[in-house]
Amino acid sequence: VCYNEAITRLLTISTQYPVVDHEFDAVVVGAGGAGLRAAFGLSEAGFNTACVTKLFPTRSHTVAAQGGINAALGNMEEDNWRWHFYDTVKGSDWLGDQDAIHYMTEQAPAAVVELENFGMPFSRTEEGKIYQRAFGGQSLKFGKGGQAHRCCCVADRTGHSLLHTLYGRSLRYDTSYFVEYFALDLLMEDGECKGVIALCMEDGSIHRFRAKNTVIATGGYGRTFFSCTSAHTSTGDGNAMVTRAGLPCQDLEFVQFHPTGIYGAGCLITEGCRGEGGILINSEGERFMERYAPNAKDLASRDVVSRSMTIEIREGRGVGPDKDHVYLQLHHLPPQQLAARLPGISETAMIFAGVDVTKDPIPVLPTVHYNMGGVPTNYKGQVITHKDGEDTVVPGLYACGEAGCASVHGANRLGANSLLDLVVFGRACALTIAETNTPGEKLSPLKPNAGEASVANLDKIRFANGSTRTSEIRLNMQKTMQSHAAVFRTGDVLKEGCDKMESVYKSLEDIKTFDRGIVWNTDLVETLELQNLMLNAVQTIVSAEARTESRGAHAREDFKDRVDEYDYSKPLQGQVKKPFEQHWRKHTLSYVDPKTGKVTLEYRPVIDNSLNAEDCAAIPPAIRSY
Amino acid sequence: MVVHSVCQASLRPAVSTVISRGYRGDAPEPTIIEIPLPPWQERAGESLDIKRKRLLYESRKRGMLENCILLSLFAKQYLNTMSESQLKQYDRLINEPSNDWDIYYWATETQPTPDVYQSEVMEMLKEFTKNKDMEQRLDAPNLEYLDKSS
Repeated sequence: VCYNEAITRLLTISTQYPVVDHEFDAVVVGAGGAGLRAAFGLSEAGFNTACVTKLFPTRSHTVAAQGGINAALGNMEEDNWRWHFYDTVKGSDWLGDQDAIHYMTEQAPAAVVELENFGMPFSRTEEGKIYQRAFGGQSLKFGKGGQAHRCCCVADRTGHSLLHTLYGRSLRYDTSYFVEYFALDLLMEDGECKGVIALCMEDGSIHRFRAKNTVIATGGYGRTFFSCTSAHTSTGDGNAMVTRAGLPCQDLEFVQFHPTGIYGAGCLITEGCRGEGGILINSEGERFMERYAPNAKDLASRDVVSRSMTIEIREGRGVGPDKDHVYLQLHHLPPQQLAARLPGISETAMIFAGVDVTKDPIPVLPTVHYNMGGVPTNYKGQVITHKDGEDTVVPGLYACGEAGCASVHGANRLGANSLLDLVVFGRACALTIAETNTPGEKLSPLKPNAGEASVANLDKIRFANGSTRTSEIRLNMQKTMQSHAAVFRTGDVLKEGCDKMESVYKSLEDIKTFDRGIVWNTDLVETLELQNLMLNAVQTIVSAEARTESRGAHAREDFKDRVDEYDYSKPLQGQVKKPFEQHWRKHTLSYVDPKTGKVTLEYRPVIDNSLNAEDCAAIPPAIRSY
Repeated sequence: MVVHSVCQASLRPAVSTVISRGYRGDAPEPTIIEIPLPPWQERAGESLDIKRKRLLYESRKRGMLENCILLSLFAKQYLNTMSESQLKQYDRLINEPSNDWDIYYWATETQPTPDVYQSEVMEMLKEFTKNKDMEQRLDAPNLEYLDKSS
């Protein structure tokens, strides 16, 4: 028997929900790349670990990843992790914390080699070294040496391979998986996290997982928008749990729009297409990226490409009957190359856009793809909060993956840095926990009615009989976010969006669900997910409205420039440094009062020093051009 | 469902030919030796109604958007009228393969379906994917089609 004895107890508040208590050394919420790496690392170190997930591990959204993992292995040309560090700091538009970026890029080669040793079958060169390809935003010699080739991949299934490898590995170490359990809330007591409470979908029982260490690895929240590339499972559950616990989320206004999502369905057309020679064209048949990014052209950083596409559309050079998208052209590439290197694209283009890529271009639009923001952590993966001008660690709570914000991606994420983020910080959480705890430690007592409010909410939603259905409220939220907080943002449109979101939030009180059962109640789960999405949405739009500058993925038509402490487009000599309150090179921390949906904002400084100045010089801010 | 770690994991029926369908660039084809995962097992003692409810959840919650859209629409059309044997075939099809992309490639017929998954339900899925009625398939459907009171 590989899991602890469960004690069944009835909560005093309700006799309808049998409660099972479990005790573990650590509990990980989420079984994607980051969650699995953390769970495996903890189990390997001897900690009795539970992994609570609403999906079977190999069905986490990580499986969708086809790009690869960046690491400065130097297999294709001479490379140096400090160049990768530079690219990532620049890519983040100087909102990334350089200590975390230093940690991630320095660890990258070791992380990839470790995965290789775990059995991950990377694609190889003829000499047998790991094959590495080009990807957007990656350069050599601090941007002066041309395109770098540092993205390692497993053919077209890097995401799947990562999950399969880590899941298989973790089972050898006795990790206890609780699959198809929906985590409801954190169990917090006196500012300390003591575990999570979850609903078992198979039989409707409630489970309290008590642990001294909780790791949040629940992924992003793309589903707050109408058009996104994410699976329907990306509902920001971890961010919402943290918000309900009274803790802040960080930088939620920074939402990455991937340049090439299929117009309509939103399915992703990988950046690899442009890596192979695909080009973006407007209504005049012009390869417009030559104007916006003369050097990198179609392989410029994603935010630059998304903004360029949006400007073309706004200036009237969009295509289609409503002139509201552009084309991705592939038919100029030889058919054999298309078949050999981009075969999967043909299916997606045909099924969701009705296009034959050998003849016609694919209609594409910048589509919500990734959330740079999330639960704020330090570079060790510990969740932090900011009080009296100081970062303080929240005891017992960690976050990693897309759900975390260390922050390595800052205002914009580079392609192939996300899978790296998962493994490095999943491992970092496991290492930090192992450093500061011992397996088998006795748990501090938990109040008998801990988690009561979560069960009360569950019960309320299960029998909700208001006037607006879950799907209606969800659509209202998604359309509002899509119209008011998309690629290009302006003050009055954002403000209108904030007001609309306030009323959409309030409409949750009048929600109507129809499935009253407790076993496999998808209606209930999708409604709980909607509650979670809503908390993410209000923080995103209010933070965006407040930030009066353009930085990375957050582009404002009314405030087109970055507002830093100095004007970096001019020499620094003679300039007066702006005080913290008067510039925007800082992280947003957002809180929500769940009863009213009211968002409060605070700010904390960006960490500008690397972990070791001698080893790796920090990169001072500069103007960002490709 | 709590998954215990197994001392003797057995090999899943692996796809014998690995044809890459997504972006590979000029990355040479690796030899894919997959770490064996515990074998998928049919759930014992589950009534047909409960099986349908579980499969609905599992159709709607997939690893990537393409499958979310395809399988939710398929479930909306067929799940409530499937026979017991069809439900078992569907259960195996959407729960046993470890790579969600494989299910998509088999449904779109860009990769041959392995014999173990070739079934009546797989044929239904392939036919459904062809979209002969040219319906707009821009997103997964809302759940309210199941609300009997509406």
